[in-house]
Amino acid sequence: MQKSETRVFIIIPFALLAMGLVELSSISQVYFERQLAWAFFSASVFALFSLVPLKFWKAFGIPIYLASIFFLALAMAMGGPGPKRWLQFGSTRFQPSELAKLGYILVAARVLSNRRKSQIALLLQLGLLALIPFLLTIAEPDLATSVTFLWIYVLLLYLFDISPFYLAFLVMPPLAVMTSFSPILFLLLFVGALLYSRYIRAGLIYTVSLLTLILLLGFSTPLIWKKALKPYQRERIIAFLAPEKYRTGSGWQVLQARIALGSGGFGGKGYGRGTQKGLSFLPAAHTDFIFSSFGEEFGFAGSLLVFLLYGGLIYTTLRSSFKMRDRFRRALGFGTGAYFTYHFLANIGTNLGLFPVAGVPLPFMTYGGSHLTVEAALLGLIIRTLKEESSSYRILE
Amino acid sequence: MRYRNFLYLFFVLWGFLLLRLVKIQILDHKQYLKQAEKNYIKPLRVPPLRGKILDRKGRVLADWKPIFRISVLGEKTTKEGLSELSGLLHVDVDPDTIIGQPGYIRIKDGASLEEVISVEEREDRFPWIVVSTVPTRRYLYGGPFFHLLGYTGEVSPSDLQRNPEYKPGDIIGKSGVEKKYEEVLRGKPGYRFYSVDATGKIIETDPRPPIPPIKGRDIVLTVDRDLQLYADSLFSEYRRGVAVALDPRNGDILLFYSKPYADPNVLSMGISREEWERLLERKDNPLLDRCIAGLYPPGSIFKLVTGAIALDLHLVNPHDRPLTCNGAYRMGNRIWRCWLPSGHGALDFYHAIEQSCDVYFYYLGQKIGLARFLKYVRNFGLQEKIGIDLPGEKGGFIPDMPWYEERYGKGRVPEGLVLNLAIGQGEILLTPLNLAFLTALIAMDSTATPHVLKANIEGLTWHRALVEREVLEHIRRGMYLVVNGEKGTGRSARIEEIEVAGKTGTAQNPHGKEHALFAAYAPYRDPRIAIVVIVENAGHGGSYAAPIAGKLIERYLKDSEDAEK
Repeated sequence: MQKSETRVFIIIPFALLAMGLVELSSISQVYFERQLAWAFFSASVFALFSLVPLKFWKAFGIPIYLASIFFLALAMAMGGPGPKRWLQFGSTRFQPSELAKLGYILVAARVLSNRRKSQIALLLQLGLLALIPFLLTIAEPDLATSVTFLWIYVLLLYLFDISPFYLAFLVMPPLAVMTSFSPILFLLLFVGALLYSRYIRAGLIYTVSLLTLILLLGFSTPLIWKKALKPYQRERIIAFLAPEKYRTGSGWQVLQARIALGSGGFGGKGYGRGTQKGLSFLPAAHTDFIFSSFGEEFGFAGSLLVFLLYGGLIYTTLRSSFKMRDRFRRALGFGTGAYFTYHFLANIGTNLGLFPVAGVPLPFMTYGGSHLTVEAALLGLIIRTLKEESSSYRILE
Repeated sequence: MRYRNFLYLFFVLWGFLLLRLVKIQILDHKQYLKQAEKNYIKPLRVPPLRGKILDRKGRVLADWKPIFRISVLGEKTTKEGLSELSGLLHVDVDPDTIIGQPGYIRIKDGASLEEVISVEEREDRFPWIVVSTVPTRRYLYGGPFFHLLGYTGEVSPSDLQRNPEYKPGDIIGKSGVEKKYEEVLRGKPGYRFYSVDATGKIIETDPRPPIPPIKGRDIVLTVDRDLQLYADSLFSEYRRGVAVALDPRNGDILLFYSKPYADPNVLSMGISREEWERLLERKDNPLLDRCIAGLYPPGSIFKLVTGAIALDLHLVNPHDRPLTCNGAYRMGNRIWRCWLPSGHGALDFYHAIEQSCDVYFYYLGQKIGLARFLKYVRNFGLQEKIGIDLPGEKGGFIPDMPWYEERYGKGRVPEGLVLNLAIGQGEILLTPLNLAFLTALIAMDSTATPHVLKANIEGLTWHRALVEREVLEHIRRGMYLVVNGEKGTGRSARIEEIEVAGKTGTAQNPHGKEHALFAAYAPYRDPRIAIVVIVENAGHGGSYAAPIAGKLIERYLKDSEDAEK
């Protein structure tokens, strides 16, 4: 059993990496060569994480987390005007927010491994640990990346059976913010919250305070939108709502991505023959829009393969994690699963024109070393948990 | 089972994205493919070859020559790049009409090789330009044919609205034959396609097969090239004038010359606004087609009309000598002078025309009377356009009684006005084409509507002179004497072996010397050409216009005889 899962965790990422490299070579030789170098580096990171016992990572997670926070703060301090997402090391650039994702998963797993902690303590500790990188990345500003931490946080709590009473308080407020711009959706949320509190048999005080919170957020958000958000953030979201009106800028990118995908058809235009990315109508063909670029050249057949590979990877990740008996290992697996689900949904959703340009990488495929290294580390950890889980079985048996 | 619930949730979302993918990549594929092509395949309108314009003997008057055209892809053009480019090319462009507009927009025709090279050297600064070689109009003989052929230029916004087939930047006929026969000459533009990248740079030429343009049809005119050029040489010492000739048998315009003129080759390349305004402001008005829009007092040529009316009304017997000219004519208590102060003595109708005796025609005018005179002249229809196939024709100016009553008051119009009108002075104004048409009518009794496009004889519209047939014969005899009589005023139009009949005119002109006019036809018994020559501010018609007319008649008839041999 474990062996076939191990195989999945090697074959699928490798296939995705190879597909990414093929598409990168079609876009530009330079990207291909650099990414190939990163792939070799990531392979050694993968080996390192899969060979070193989890005990070590359980301890070493804290320095990784602290270092990533330090680097995030450093990037913030050193950056000039404009987005501060990068740290320059000689000729290579490095994205501390990617490292923070790994660091958060490690420290969160460590916190969750302690089964004697109360639910409220878990909730607060994990929340605090997520909040720091969340605030630092949202200030970069990088909204989509910052949401990663919240996503992992909520999902871990959910999968570790946190009481529905707490969960509602975690999930409803963000939903209230998101729906505050549409009266109908907001009403639906309000009614949904009411029914939910009936379903979990909540008391009057709980229900009233939950609903009050929703109302408060729902009415204050539009004010914050107008006063506090940066124009470029607002523009991205507006451009998403009506991309045809924004011929340039992010709305234009979303439209061009859809044109790239759609013009690919079933069979695609063929390797190196994509006109959208080839004639550089698709500006971020190698990063945010590698899926569209791939889909333009390899058609629906190619994109479907990408879908199936990610579906398989995420399914296997979640399923194997669920079977882990050790809480630390299970938390690592669920954290990694949360990472993959979020990046898959956000990136593909952007490519399909369902979200504004999020700026999150597509795991294994997007050009860039930081995320690839982190993904290699996560895979290495999964392989390690599988190995240690099966050996602990043997000891038990 | 929260783990399972989450897995379900994920795969619901995964399935939703997959459906969306199917919609984009399979269901809407065609629509997106079109958009992708529109993104990078840009059509460039290729102008057709304009039909050639030939003279009556098939000699080319207008064809084409290749020039460099520089166009920019409006949607990719940048403001800085455009201003740099317009500096290099020395053109004024309005960025608002270019930047952001879809497709290629012509910004310069006739760029020099140096300009093309300097632009192409800076390709990375203006990746969105395309240099193409296109045909442009070439007028082989330039100015002398300007008023006849017209010129070509960029389509105007009002033309665009009128005809949806035109696209901005198209070249169309702006005046003359070019404008009148635009539909025949223009042909149909084609397209070439270019693949461009996001900056507008051309990546591939002809990703799609080009649509070739369709050449316009050639047209054959009735004018004679050599006659026209000969007229230009005869006018070389005069600044302003007109010569119009037609074949009275069928209305073919043989000569259509108006001076001064502009150079159609220059105008067709497009000139700047200042140059255009300078042209408009010139006092001698080179853009005025004097042949059909120049209004002149007809002078003594109008005595032919006065005579025709009088004879048609049987007010005088052409063989009688009803009075004696002693240099002046008295009506009421006013004296009207003859141009010959010593007087012509007693003359019959023929000799009155021969010597252009004013007194004789004062007498006829008085007998006809102002009201009847005006009615008769207007009945001839000279105030209306004749209907030549050229744009911009004007009718003559023939006042009527109400017009005079407005000036002088009802019942207070002086009867003496008719005397001035009878000798072609005063308010009546005619175009040279009017006069030539009149001459052709006199020569042949009937003639066809003058036209410059060669047409079948069946397609012509015919006009009859609205007087009795004998009347015209009397007038023709008088005209014969003008050129061939001992005391004829037009003797300088005489030529060897050919009998010319004509009438001189000298039109008084408040702005300077008199205009010299001469109307003639030849040969006397077998008219093949009717001609009007006007030399502005030259002096007597007999001295200045008649010799030119004579030479033109001689050249035309001798040439056509040579051709027949």
